[in-house]
Formats: sequence, C-alpha cells, structure tokens
Amino acid sequence: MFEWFLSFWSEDWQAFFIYITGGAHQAFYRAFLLNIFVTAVSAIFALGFGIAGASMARSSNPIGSTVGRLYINMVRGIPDVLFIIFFPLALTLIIKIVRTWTLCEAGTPLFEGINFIGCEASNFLTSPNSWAAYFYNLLMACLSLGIVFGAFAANVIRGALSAVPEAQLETARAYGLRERQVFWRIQVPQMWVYAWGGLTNIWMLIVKSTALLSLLGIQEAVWWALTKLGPPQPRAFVGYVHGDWTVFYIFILLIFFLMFTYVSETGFAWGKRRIGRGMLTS
Amino acid sequence: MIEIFSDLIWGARISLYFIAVSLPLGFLAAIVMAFGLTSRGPTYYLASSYVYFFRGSPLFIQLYFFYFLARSLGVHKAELWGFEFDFLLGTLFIAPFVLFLNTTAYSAVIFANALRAVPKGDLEAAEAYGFSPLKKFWRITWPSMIRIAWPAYGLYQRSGVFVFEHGHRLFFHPADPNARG
Repeated sequence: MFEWFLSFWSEDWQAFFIYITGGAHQAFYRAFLLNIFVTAVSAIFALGFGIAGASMARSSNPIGSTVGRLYINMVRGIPDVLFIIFFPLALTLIIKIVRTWTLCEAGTPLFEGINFIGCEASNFLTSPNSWAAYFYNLLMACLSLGIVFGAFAANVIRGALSAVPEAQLETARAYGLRERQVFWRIQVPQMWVYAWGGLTNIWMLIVKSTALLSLLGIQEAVWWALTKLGPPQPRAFVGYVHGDWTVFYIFILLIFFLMFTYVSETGFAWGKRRIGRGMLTS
Repeated sequence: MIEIFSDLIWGARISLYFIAVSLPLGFLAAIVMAFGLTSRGPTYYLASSYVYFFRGSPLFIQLYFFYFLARSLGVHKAELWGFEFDFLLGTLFIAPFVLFLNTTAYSAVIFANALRAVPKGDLEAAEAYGFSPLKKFWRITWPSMIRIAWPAYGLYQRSGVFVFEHGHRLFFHPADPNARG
C-alpha cells in the first residue's frame, strides 16, 4: 500500500501539484471570488436601476413614465451581450469626448469616419495594469450588468407593485395615510413577496452572465481558464508541460456555476418561506 | 460604414440558420423532456438533472465545454466506413447543437408546467369515454398543453432568439483579453 503510494507520488505528480498550487492557479482560484463579487455588486446596481425604472414607469409624470417604459422595453428587447459590450465602450467614449473638449486645444477633430481621434490628453487610464484601470473596468462591467438586468428587475417590480391587492391600499387610505405613506408602508413591503420569484430569476441571469465578462477584459475565472491556463503549455521553464487542458478548466467552471446556482436556489427557497410569512399567498 | 452593415447582414444569415435548426428540434425534444419531468422514477431524475445542468450554467460555458470536450475526445478524427466526422467540430454543427440542447432544457420546463396544468377533469372524462392512451394524448393532453404553454413559450422564444444571436456571436469571437474602450 505504502509502496504503491510512493510510486504514485512520483516526481511527475509532485511537479503537477506544485503547478496547480502555483501563482497562476492561485490567481485562477481567486478569480472565482471576483465572479461572486461582480455578481453581488451588479445585483445591487440592478436592484437600484430596477426600483428607479419601475417608479419612473409608474409615475404620473408623462416624461418620467415615458423614459421609464422606454428603458424597460428597449433594454429587454436588445440582446444583453450587446449592451454589456456597448455601455463600457460608450461611457469611455463620452469621457474621452468630454476630455477632448476640456483638455485639448480648440478645434481638435473628434472623429475621422467612425474612429475616435482626439489628442494625447483625451486618453485616460492608458496603462492597462494600473489599479485605477482595473477598478474602472470592474465598475464599468458591474454598471453595464446592472443597467441591463435593472430593466428586467424594473419590469418585475412594476408588476409586483400592481399585484398588491387594491383593498390593502384602500384600507390604508381609509385610515388616513398619505399617498407617500401608503406607498412606502403598505405597497413596497407587500411588493417583495410578489417580486421575489422574478428577482431571484434575475439573480440567476446575473450569475450566468458573469461568464461574459471576459469579453470586457475582466480577468475573472473564465478568462484565466480560456486564455491563460487551458491552452497547451509546451515550454518547461514556464511551468508544467501539458497539452490542451481547456476542457478540464471549463469543467471546473461548469461545476462552479452549477454549485453557485444550486446554493442560490437553496437560499432563495429559504428566503421565499421567510418573506411570505404572515401573508396570504399560495 | 456600409461594409460593416453588409457584414452584419451577412452574419445574420448564419444567425437565422442557427435559429432554424435549433428551435424546431428543441421544441420537439422539449416535449419529450417535459414528459420526463412530469414522470416518476429514473426518467424524472434523468430529465431533471439534464434541465438542471443546462439551466444552471451559462450558455457561453456550455458552448466552450462541448466544443473542447469533442475535441479532446478526438471525435473529429473518427472514421467509420470511410465517413469522416470532422464536421462535428465545425461551428455550423456544434453551435446549433449546443443551442438545441440549451433551448430543450429551457422549453422543457415551460412544457412541463403546462403539462401539470392540463385540467384533470378533461383527462378523467376521456378515460370515462374509453379513449385509448394515444387518442387521449392527441385529443386532450396535447392541445391543452400547447394552449397553456404557448404564451410563455412565445415570450421565451422572443428573448431566446436574441440568446441565439449572441450565442453564435460568442462562438465566432472568443474572449479577447484586450477588448477595452
């Protein structure tokens, strides 16, 4: 038994274990935390955009309601990946244009055809490895996920606000509550039980779309697996020599996402029981 | 500008091909899968784990996983009676294939919910009239199921068509680590 273990523990295996606990792999393991972090921050952004969009769409102000409904319908009707790529590019371009107007000398051309020109000063965060550029990318990613899924959340919250029984609101008004109080004390607290299912679905969508962040240059787990660790490693001095291991890393990612969604679902089932306490729901 | 748009329209042709291949096949497979989801015993566990796998992981990862799985298994090198299998790794095969698997899972849940919502009285009435199981399915279960599932299925497909578009987009343009504004 012990001899078998010794033969198993050959130098090849030692090298293998040293490799999978090395620097690149530690970065890969840490990148999963980045995925979870981005999911959480985007979910908070999405909830914020959702509440804002829903209250705008439901408001009596015609401009506000038009903007709210336009936001909801437009973002929901366009593929999310386009928006996820579009928002960071568009926001970066806007900042560059503003910088061109303020920092460059007057009369600097902005565009040649569809390419941005500007001057030297209109570029910002030019060194790609700086902390500022890293956080800028991360913020843009969270923001674009938040804007996209905020539209879905706004739709859910809008529906949930309408689903609160009218009798509850009328009773509150009969007790002499003002409209603001009716909204915040009766409608919003009761809204959550109707919104719960839809909002948890949006959380699942956000979890799954963090896999797309590698398209934005965020170095999360998918990026490490696909571009750094998976491809064949022919040179011994870089690390462990191996063939194409992409499928194993993708498999680890699959397990991660399945576990993440499973844990989320379990948590949501618990939350559903808790949130529905004291309310007449089936 | 014109070149970009003509490229986009040329690309939309492939998109349409993906939709045309994977949607109808996914529809048929989803109905079979829905019966699995509403059954008891091993078929239930098979169907529900299939659905859980495809709904619980991103489409992006599924595309990569099946492509690299096929490649590392050497499917494309296989040869049977002089027939080459290298088309299995081509984008025009594997992308619609994974999309088909994916849409099957999502649609199956919709059809399974519809199947559970088929009025029990109708089925009992059919049994009382002495319908054979096949006739009962074609005359009662199938029309009610489609009628109940259609709005949800249509809604899903409306978003699903976009999922396909970006699915194939992702397949043609793998992760670019330096993409930034």
